[in-house]
Formats: sequence, C-alpha cells, structure tokens
Amino acid sequence: MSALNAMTEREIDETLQRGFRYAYSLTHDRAEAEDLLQEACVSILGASAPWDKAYVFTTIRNRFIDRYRRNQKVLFLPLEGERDGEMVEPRFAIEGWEAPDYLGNGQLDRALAALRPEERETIYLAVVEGYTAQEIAGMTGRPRGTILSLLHRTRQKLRRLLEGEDAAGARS
Amino acid sequence: MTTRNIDDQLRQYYLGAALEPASLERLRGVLTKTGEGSARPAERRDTSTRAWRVVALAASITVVFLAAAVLVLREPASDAPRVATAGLSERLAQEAARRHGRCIEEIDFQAEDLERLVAQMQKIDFTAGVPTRRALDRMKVKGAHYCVLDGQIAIHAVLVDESGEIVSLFETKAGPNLASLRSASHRMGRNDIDLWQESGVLYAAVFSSPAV
Repeated sequence: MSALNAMTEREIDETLQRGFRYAYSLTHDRAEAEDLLQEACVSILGASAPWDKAYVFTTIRNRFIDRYRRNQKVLFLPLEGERDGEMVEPRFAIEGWEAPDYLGNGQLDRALAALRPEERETIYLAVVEGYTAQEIAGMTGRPRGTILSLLHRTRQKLRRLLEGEDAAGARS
Repeated sequence: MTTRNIDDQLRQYYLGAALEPASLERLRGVLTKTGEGSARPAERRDTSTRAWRVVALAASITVVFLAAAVLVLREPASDAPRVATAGLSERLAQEAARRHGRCIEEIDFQAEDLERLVAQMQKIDFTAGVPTRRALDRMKVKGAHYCVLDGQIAIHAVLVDESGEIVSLFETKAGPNLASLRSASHRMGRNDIDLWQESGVLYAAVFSSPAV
C-alpha cells in the first residue's frame, strides 16, 4: 500500500485508465479488459509489488496470456508473411470473437477487431502510449527489428482494411 | 490514407476507451481494500482457531436461518428495497456466472478440502469460511484463485460434483451494500446460481446443467 499512499487519487486514476486502455488493446472487449485490470490490481497489491504503470502493464499482459492459454482460446500462429525467419517466436491470437462497436468509430473498430492481439498491442504501445520500438521490445520480449516490422505490417493491414471498407461503401 | 491519419484515428479511438466512472470507483475501492488487507497482517485469519470458527459458524447458521425465516415471512413495508436487492443479486449472479464460464482453469491454490484450500489464501480482507450447504460437502476440490466479485477481492474455488460437472464457489466479504441480500437463486443460460450469506461472507455457487 505504501506505493499507493504516495500517489494522488488522480495519479491512481490515470494509471487505472491507462491500464484499462492497454488491456482493451489486447482483448478488444471492454468487459474482458476491465476483468484483466481488476485481476492485475489484485495480483499486484496481493504480492506487495510496486504500483506503477510499467508493472501494471506487465501484469495485465501476463494475466492476458495466462488466461487465454488456460482457456485454450489462444492459437499460436505465425503472422501473415512472416516466413523470412525474422519473426520466429510463436504468436497468440484469439479465435472466433467479434467485437461490438463500443466506441462509435465502427470502421476502425472492425478493422482493429480483425487484427491479432499482438498487432493491436504493439500499435497501441507505439502510437497511443508513445513507447519506442526498443522499449516495446523490452516490454514484450521481442527483438527490436520484429517490433519495427510488426508496426509497419500492422499499419499496412489497417490501411488495407480501412480502405477496403471505404471502397465497399462507395460501391454500395 | 496516410500513416498520420491512421495514428490520429487510433489515438482518438483508444483515448475514448475510458473506464466508466462507476468502474473506476470500484477499482479504486479494490485497490484500497486489497492494499489495506495486505498491510495489516494482524487482521488476517488465524488458522489455529478455525475449528472453533466452524463450530461457531454452525451455531450461528441456526440463528441466521431463524432470522431469515422471520424476515421472509414478514411483509416488507415497501417494495423498493426488495427491487434494489433483486437487481443487486442479479448483477452478482451474472458476474459469478461470467467468471464461472471463463476462469475455471485458473488454479493457483490446491488442497484436498475447502477448509485447507481457503486457509492458504491469506490476501483476502475477510474470514473465508466453509459453507454449510450439504451439496457442497460431497464435491471434490479442484483448486482456487483470487478474483474480484462486486468490486471486492474474492475467492473462486473450483469444485467437481459427483457427475463430474464443474461447480464454482465464490466467497467475498458481505459489505454494507450486500447486507440486504440474504439468499437468492437465479437461472442464467445453462447456469444455476445460488447466492447466500453466512457469518458476514457472501457465497455464490454456480452449477452448470449438462448440455442437452
């Protein structure tokens, strides 16, 4: 509790909101994200671990991977086109879920739902949280080159998905 | 569409994904309660007195049953508290059923029986007990993990009944907001959820009917 006591209510709220957004980037489901964040809070304080953003993010990530591995909802798949040996680690992806449009931007919401969790996670950490590729590599245990490649491919994929929807909308 | 466009849209999208004020409040409550629980070891359970607690629990159950019977038979002065309790119990039942559906493979603690199982779980801010419901006595204990129920730290014990079906038993502190909730049953999809209180602990048991 000492780490928490040293923080203002605003700082605690800010960490909770960021933790929630990060969890949402992984799950693409509000209820799941809230659950993950709650579990992370309980786990961090139960272990008397430090209450800071980096630790909250790491705990959320570990809980996410644990949960879906245990529930056997995670498939370990190579990413599209990742056959050149650069990305050799297994990847996780959730099978058969469809995200509702919670946030009003239906087109982007659907495009994000079509991404794999690690793609959403990487682009979220880079674009919204402002982490560098090196920092994301440290957080996720992947090589920096892999992160750069993943970011590039994810942006391309999003662009394709968004433009595809635009074209479909124009035709109809 | 440019990279900048996509990045701007992403920023706007994710910054709009904020926790609702009620959820934020609840999580803040979890942090405070959990933190206080772990910071005051003197308040944790003394397992050596558990046997006495079980005896005391059994005695108090009789009193609780009598009191509950009196309250159930009495006509309430207004329907409002009953409606509020119904909403609360339904929300809790939903939360328990959701966790039952998703988290039964999460086993962080194991023991042969429920008493030994909950005795290992020291991070809670209430005295976890062994409920007196007879149906639960006959079940095998698979294990348990910490979870959150109604914004409070809780125990999720996973049991297996005689026919091999998984049963979830949740235990959490029956705080003031749960005081009016004594006992309720809900049917949600394939799940039957029983909620009840014993000695200041709120229990929720989730039973799944076999798929037809």
